[in-house]
Amino acid sequence: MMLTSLPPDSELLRLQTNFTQHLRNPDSVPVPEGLDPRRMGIYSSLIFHNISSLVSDFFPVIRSLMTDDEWDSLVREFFITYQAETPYFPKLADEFLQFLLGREGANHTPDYLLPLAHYEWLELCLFLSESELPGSPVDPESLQSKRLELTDLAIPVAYDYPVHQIRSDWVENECPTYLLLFRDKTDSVRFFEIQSLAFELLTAMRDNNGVHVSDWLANKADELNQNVGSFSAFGMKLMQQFNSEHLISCADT
Amino acid sequence: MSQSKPIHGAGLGLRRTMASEFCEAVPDGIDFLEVAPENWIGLGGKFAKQLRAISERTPLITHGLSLSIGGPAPLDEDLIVAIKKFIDQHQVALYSEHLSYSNDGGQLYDLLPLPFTDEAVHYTAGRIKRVQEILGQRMVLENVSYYLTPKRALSEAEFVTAVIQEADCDLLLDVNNVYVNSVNHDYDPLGFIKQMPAERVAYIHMAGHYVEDDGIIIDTHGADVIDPVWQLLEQTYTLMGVKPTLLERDFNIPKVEQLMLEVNQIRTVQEKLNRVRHDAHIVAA
Repeated sequence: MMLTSLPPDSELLRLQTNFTQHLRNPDSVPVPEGLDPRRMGIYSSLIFHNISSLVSDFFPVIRSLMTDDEWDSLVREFFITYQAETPYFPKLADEFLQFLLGREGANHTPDYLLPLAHYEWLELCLFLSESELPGSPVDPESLQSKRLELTDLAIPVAYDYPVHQIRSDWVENECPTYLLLFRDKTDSVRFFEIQSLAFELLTAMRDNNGVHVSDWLANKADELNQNVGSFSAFGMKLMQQFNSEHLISCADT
Repeated sequence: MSQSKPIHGAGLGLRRTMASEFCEAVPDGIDFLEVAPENWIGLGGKFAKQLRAISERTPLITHGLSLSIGGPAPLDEDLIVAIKKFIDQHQVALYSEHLSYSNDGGQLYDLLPLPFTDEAVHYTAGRIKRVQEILGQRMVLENVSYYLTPKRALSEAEFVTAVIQEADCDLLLDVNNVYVNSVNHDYDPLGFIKQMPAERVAYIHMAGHYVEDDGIIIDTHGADVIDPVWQLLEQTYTLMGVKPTLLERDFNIPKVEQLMLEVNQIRTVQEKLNRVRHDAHIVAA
């Protein structure tokens, strides 16, 4: 018989469980009986540094904002409390973000941590995404007349902090921030800083499977008591800018 | 079935940092490249384009990290199917994994030592068979470096050969690991290699390591290959014949020209042994 899982009374299961429980939490779980503490220490140190270096590659700004002790204790908490499932190394970033979301409101966590983690994760997602940009921009006529949608490689995001400006030596104050994060034609990830109205429009294009942009702008001008002509001209100019980066396509083809 | 390109000669483990250079031109002297599928599957954008450009020109083999073949968690069949797809897409000749485990219900992203017991032999061999069934091809299993053994009812050589035999799989003989383990566990490295089934050795790994203050060797893949490991490679070829062999370098990665010195040294040893065997053949005839 081909045995591909272990029965509960398996010696192998017991040996492996004792081994990894210590490795995950060497300060609290003793070295399994009969094993050399010096050599177990090699494993716990190798495994911790490996996880720590993988995660810091994905969240370099967060890493740079923390002291070594703060970072080590965060990674240790991740390793003890969170069961990462993905076999794919780049997807470890998803798992770490899920872990951070699950501990929202934890002590000593600065308010900008989660928005910043989301921003760093999203940059990576776009960079690694299997989607491709449309091969050509939408023609100017269709830009006016057709329902438009955003490519998968452009994502409008709103944060309470200017996360794109946070650096290791400089954390900005809280301030509503709207960005269009996207992958460009050379496969690099960039952003446009946008206004809340542009964020609203782009989100509508994304969520409603396309929006007739000139109608949307005219309605919005009406709603805000703005001059329809200049308001729409401003909005269409923005569309042209995104269109030149191939971020827009026609919803009805 | 995929139209895979068989490998021969000297190869190199491909890191993402090398890909931007290699997608323009793979250096002369590299006969094949090895990638960890878990670093590349599901990727688009720049990395995917680079890998496609490389695999169109140079034979690729895969060396997995996350399957946890001897581990307590259920076998990740989705991963195996994804690897099969990757193998077909890039016309990969071989899929190797480590004779170890890396998942205890959650991924640990590192290679942990299996106990050398009969239970571990049967269990691991059963899972290898299941993987081979899904892939429709033989797996290649690597002898790993290890710093301790959770239980030792068999010797390491007995354990490795028993798994290979029972699973009917191939062996990736890591010569540096044999050296590292022989120092850390005080045995004769050539004696170990003599016990390995030569006809099952699909290819060989070479790498450098780090020696701690108390003499324990850590298998870092972060330094040049040392002379005793080069000698062991030559002795291995003498015993088994020349096998495709690749250099792994995962940390402190030097410039490509520097790495190529070691890749070329693999070829030099291969050519020397081929010459010796050729001459011996003439004498015998």
